[in-house]
Amino acid sequence: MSELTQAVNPPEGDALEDLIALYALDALDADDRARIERRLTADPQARRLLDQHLETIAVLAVSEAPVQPIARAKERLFARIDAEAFSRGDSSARAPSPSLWDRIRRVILAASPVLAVAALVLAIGLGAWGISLQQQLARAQQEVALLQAPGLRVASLPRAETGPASAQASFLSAPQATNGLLTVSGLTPLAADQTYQFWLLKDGQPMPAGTFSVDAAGNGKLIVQANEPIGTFQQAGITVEPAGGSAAPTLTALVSIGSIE
Amino acid sequence: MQQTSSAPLLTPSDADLAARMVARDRAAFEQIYDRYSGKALGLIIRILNDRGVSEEVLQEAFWRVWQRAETFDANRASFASWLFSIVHHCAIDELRKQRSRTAPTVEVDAPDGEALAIPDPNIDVAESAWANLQGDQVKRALAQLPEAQRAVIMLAYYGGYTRQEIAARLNEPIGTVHTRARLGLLKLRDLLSNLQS
Repeated sequence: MSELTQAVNPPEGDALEDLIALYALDALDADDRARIERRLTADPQARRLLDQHLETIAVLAVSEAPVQPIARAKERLFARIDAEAFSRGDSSARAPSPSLWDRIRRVILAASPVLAVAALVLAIGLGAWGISLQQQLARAQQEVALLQAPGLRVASLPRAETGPASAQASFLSAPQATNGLLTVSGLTPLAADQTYQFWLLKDGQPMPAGTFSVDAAGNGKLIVQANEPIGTFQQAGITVEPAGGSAAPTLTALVSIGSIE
Repeated sequence: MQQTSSAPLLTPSDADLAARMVARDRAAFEQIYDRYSGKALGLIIRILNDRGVSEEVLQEAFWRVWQRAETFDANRASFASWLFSIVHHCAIDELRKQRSRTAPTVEVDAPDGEALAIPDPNIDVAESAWANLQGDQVKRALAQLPEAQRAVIMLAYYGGYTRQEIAARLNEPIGTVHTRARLGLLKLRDLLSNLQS
């Protein structure tokens, strides 16, 4: 039995108090922290002691001379927060509409048996739409997982001269990851025979990284899956291409381009 | 203390902002960021001694604050202590990752102004952190702690060392480190409250 296990289970007053002080100071390794955290959730007295220590220690932090972060750090943080809200469907203007599906389900459950049968027939007819919602949900979950990646960075891609004045694009990725999330707003919806295409540039060479469309409000997003870590690419850009995408970008239809390092 | 500014009357309290943050109010979180990011970055730089990496850690720390907003309980602790515990943990995490990649180093200024990294396993982290402390009140309180207790707190809080590493550095039994950490924090709390009153 380890020293900590002995101290925590069964509790031995002083030893547990020592470990809580060390926990407050971040002087425990990950395994020890996890054990103490389990104990803290079940022991209000231990939790109170920890809170007292954290109040004391916070004074050390508060006494630090402030250092103004670079403005871009705040922009990146809030772009990440906005992208997460976007992925979770927090914005009614941009989000898929699961509440409609919920409403239909509630109608089916609440209706009389005859109406329920009719509603079920309708639901079967809408099966394909249901699958589409499931796919949207899976995509949203994938986006949320991507946004949780440690070391996630947010790069704003400046509008190109040929792009719409309102165009905004952000690319979120962790350098070691091979996937990323592109979010755009202010783009013009395209005709059916055209598509937006995203490019990752490595040493100046563009590589196709997916096509996407935007909704009527000009918002869109794309989960990007690369063949190698995103950190190996230096730039990214968006162009307008024929439907289905192109092997090389049409530079006269450049929307946005910028550094992702 | 006499209040010389009328601005605080219009400034939302930490408790107000925290409650709104828990309700996913982005604007409130932005105010929290504006209020605390400077102090937080100061602390992270103190621990990591690298401005660029510290900016990244700051972003990660505030992301975690936003993600874990619902775990804040105003009945248990002040918002600042909750926030800084997350910030500190992020900084220490990064420091330990760096340590696992490289041997301990100390930076000195080269004649051309560039920093050189020279391995120095005997660098006295505790004394270095102590010498650079900013807050007068905090410094006075820490000055009154027994040196052995102060060293444990400095090595843990600013040096990012685990209890085992502290015991090895100080060449003391681990039980001694445990006791010094606990007694040091209790005494520091008393000293700070005496100074504040």
